[in-house]
Amino acid sequence: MNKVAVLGAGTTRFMRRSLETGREMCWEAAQAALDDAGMTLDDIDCVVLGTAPDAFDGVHMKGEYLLDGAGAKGKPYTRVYVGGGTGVFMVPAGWWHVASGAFRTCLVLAEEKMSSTQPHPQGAFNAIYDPFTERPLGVNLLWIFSLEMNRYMQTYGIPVETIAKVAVKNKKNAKDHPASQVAGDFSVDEIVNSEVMAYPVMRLMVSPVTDGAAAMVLANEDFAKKKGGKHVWVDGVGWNLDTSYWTNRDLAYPQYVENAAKMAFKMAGIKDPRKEIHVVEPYDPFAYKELHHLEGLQLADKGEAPKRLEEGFWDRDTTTGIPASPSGGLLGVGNPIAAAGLMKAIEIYLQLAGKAGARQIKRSAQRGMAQAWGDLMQVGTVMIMGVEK
Amino acid sequence: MHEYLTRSDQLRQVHGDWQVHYRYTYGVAGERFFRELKDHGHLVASTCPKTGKRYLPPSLYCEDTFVEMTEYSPVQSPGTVQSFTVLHDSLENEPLAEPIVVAFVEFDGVSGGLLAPLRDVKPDQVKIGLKVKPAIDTKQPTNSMVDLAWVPA
Amino acid sequence: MSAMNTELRGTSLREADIREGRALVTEWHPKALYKFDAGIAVGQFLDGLKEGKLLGRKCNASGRVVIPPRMFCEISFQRSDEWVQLANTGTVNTFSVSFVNWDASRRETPQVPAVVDIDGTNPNMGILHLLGEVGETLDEVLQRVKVGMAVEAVWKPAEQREGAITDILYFRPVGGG
Repeated sequence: MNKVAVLGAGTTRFMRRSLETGREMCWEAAQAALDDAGMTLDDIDCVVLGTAPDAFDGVHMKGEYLLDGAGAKGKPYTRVYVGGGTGVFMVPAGWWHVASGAFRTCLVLAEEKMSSTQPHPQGAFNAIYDPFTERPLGVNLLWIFSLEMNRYMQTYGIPVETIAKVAVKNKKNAKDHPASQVAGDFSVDEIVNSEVMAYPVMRLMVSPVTDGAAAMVLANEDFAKKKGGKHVWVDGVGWNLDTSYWTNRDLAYPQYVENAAKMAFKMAGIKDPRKEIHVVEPYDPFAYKELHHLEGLQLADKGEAPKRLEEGFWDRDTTTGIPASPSGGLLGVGNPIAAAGLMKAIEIYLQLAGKAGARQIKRSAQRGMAQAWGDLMQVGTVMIMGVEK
Repeated sequence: MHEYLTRSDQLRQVHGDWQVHYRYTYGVAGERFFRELKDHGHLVASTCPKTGKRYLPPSLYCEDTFVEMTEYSPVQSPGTVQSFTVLHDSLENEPLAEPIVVAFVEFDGVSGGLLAPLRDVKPDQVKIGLKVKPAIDTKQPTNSMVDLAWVPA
Repeated sequence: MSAMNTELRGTSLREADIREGRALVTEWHPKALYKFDAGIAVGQFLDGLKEGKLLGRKCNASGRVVIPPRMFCEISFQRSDEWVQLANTGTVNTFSVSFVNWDASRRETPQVPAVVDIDGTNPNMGILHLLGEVGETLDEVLQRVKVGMAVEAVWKPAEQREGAITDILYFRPVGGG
């Protein structure tokens, strides 16, 4: 298998509603990534695009619709999709195009234009539920999260104030992210006392509805060497899905995230993740999910991620812990479903390359990990990047 | 051993529908196209600064060079019918009172083209190669493609 | 992003920009209707509901009794083996108190969705349903409902049942609301 390097990345602003069409946002992100890599579209051998349900943008065969904004006209092109897991999955998907030796370079993109859905994108999700055993109950997307969050809290006795601290941390981190939509300084009280949506979920614990796009350029070793300089490499990838009978699963723990993480650790030769992973971007569409996922990623024992949070272990400027969501995550930067996950993967690239500016973590980092999650709480997608010493 | 259903009255069905609708922005280039349509009653194309290729409908970026396009210019009539079809039934499979001709039209020196109804000509008089010009509703615009039709030039 | 680019592309619109015509839009209302066939397992499950019964399927290879029932077991990947009638009772695996409708509009009184693990199956073998007779406000519900609580199904009267999951009105705490 060929080694795969990350040569550049870029995003659009993350916005509640964009003037740009989905195609135009793809072009904006792709152009930013190519500029960052010092490359042109002619250098790109293939394109992989990820975007969540057609039902958000309201365009059928959305992958095909977006392709000329993705620079894919006349090129080998694939769309991949695993719900919210898509954004981080772009890295494995681009990786196998290059690692296989089939292509020298690959442009990966992720896009979402959720603002098209009226009255609210939440309504498009109802079709994820079973039409016979679930939908007639008057289901609501939020239930999935609130039911899982309550089980997690009850199993380990986690106070809601601790969970609120994830939102405080990420919204603050996002103040330094140029794309951010909902960054700001919030107190734990403000988060906990925000409107109850579906207990125990409060409004400020939920990531927003967002339009946005992100892109990354991957290349093989030959191509990277010709560019010169030190590079960030894709060291490990993993993905795993669980049954869609979600009411038959243990909701307190994301087993599929553990499975995906172990697949990536194996590929990267990582034996002790808590020592060998130096920065992490766990998927945070809701505040509790970051903690839930950190445990699945093996960076904390079951039920222990909240305690680590209280200790400052996941803070961006920690020197003894593992910074989590230094980007500001979905809670701070925004949640254009597929683009959000890729934004988190891009953050790992920036942190390892020392290009994160005001967001740069204090501790040294040679390896970092990003993770996303989605579908009917089913998929874990993981990627690990590393720098040469 | 195998439990197959053999009678249609054994079928259990549940009905569902799609509860959301969509509101689409036109985008940077599309916004310009529809403003020119309603304010000036003409079609505009965008031009790639690198190759000079013109695009209709206009786009923010050239799909070949990937360079941004900021130059818009009106498209010169007449256009030429490249292909057409005659509709006899509506989308709901009901017969139309009058058949509708829909034509795909291209313009000299411009890449791409537009689809719109072709009026003021009998269906059996329409041929590929027919010269047409746009007929644009600027009095009561809906700010959509519905405001555009073709008429013989 | 190498220059910590603060000039990211993207033109943000406010709702007012659209309402006041500064950005043009077009709308589409899809007319998509569906008829879902229940299939063999769920079809029979729905028939069972009409008769006031909760049915599960037994898979000998995996040693599980599953609900909702399925004709093949996703763990053993074999056909499941037989129908089992289950009790009308279970325990609350988790619950929520929802003040939001599917379209993000607000509710005055909450819905209380829950995952109810059904007695006579396996650990974590739950179904999604609603809890009832547990209060009308957040505080009342949080007083009354605990994870692990025993609940029983409350059925519609036989003549009103249609063969749907809603033939069970809700689950309530055993011993009354």
